[in-house]
Amino acid sequence: MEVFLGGVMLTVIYALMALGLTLVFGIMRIINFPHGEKYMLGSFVVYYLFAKWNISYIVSVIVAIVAVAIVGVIVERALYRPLKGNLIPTFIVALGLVLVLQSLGLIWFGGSDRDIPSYFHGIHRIFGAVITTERAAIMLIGIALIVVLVLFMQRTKLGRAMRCVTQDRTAASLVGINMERMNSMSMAIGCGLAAAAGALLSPMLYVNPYMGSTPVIKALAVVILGGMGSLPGAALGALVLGFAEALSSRFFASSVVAVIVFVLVIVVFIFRPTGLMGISAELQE
Amino acid sequence: MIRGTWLKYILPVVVVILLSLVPLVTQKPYYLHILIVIFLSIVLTTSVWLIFTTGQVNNATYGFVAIGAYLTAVLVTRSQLNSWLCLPLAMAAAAIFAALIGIPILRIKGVYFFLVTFALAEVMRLAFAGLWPDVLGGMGGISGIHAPNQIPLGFTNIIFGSRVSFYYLALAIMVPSVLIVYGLARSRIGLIFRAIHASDKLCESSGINIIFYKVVAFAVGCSLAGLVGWFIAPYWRVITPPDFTFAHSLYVLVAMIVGGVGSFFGPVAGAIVLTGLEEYLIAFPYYSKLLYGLVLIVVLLFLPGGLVSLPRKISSWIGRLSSLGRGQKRAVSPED
Repeated sequence: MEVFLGGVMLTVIYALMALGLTLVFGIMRIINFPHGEKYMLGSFVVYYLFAKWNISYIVSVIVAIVAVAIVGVIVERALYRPLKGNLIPTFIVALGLVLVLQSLGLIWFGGSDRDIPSYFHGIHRIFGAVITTERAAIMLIGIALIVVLVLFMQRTKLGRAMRCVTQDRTAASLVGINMERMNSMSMAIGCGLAAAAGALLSPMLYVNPYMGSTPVIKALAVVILGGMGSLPGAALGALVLGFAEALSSRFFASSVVAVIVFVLVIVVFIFRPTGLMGISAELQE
Repeated sequence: MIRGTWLKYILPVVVVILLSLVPLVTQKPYYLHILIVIFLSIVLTTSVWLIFTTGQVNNATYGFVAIGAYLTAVLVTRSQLNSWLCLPLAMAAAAIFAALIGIPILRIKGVYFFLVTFALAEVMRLAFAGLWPDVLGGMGGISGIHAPNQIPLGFTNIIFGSRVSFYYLALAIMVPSVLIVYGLARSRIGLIFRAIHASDKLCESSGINIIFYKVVAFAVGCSLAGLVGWFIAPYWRVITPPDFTFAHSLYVLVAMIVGGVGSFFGPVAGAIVLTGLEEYLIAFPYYSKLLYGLVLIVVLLFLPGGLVSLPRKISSWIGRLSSLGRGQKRAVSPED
């Protein structure tokens, strides 16, 4: 049972990260490497607001999400837009940004881990397994955010516009969808989700400038598995990888788990190059 | 013009001669080391570029370097095999593995191929870290790899005692590798590579077996990586799995792209400039990554074509400035 809950927890976290990543890819067709750093920034904001200045946790999380979303839009305007979607320079610029953000974090924050006190206390028992209130809260809030995202994409005009852009960029602009606004919005939402993941997890994990690198790699694996650009795919991928990791952690050492995860991704790739539900590579060209 | 052709062939020869004379100017291990690292980077970036001409972005470079390095290390430390025999073995092992794994994965194109090789690099590294710990040394790797054996030359032996001999060895590795890549790129095979990059469906309908050519490019590129691995094992004396992460492979790609993917000289320029930059930035330990990242961003924002496009960019600026001076109205330039 604890494995199941662990799986759910991992799934929710991976989903938050992966959905943002796949959204940005679906609309802007770039792999947003600095996504992990947005996660880190989310944690940083919560650290400074909540741990240092004692601002309420809820407010800190909300501020984190909004602030990082704004940072994302600035990045998009300053760096990605001038390159007009030219994949190769964008790739390098994204990498450069990762280094810059990590270094800025290092300079500002210092290299050592910091701790954020937990907001939720206590434990619960569900079906014989023990779970901390904190984990439960993270899971619930995470699921709530995902549900909000789904509703947004399915029900609102803006959401439908974004899905349209994901499917066919040319047709979308022909229909009158403002591509630049789509780009900015997708960055804002994507970064906001990453920041949410970072903000929520920060009391549980240590905060340091490099904390974003592992989540982004895992998110990348999830997105590859589920298919780039596909939101349901990302959710599905998060489910598969979250549970695969939870299950194999039960039985194997962590290094073997990593190998299993990567091999799984490669195997899926060979048989279904676009991931489980992704956009065909040909549509991109 | 005949004069132009003559210059084109003489220049590289002159460069090689000058490089061979470097140890006469300085024997400081540090400078020789930097040059060695630059030479190895050039081999790696050009090999990745060769694969890139078929349209595949390969991020598994250091996985193949690891193959060469580990094979050499194991054979040299465990058996009395002459290290020189390990050279062809390292290259062959890398090439064979590349061919075997290339056949399924080279069908994958674009971003997805990059991601697969990204994962592959990590799998290879983790395999070296986790499998057969008694042979491969687990996370601690293999140590005590001795230098290549002496080469008896009749009148004297070439001994690999000092940095100087490694320098010449690195030079001796770089020159043929560069020639191989350049020659291949300019040959009919290179033309097919580029055709595949431009439009693989058209190639297929013309009867070209694209998988075959892609595998050839991949195998050749990876065997050069294996060659670098063969050199690295005795040069570093100790090899451990963290020496071969995806980040190392990524830096090779970065150097290639920053240099410019359009021409052969791009990766060379990128390798030289970026390796030099890394060494220079060691002087600023706190800010090194920040500056490196800023350099990446600035270079690519202003020179999307990479460093090799600098001459073109400058001449187009000059053209624009001079026509402004003449007061002409200009149509929007393609650079905008």
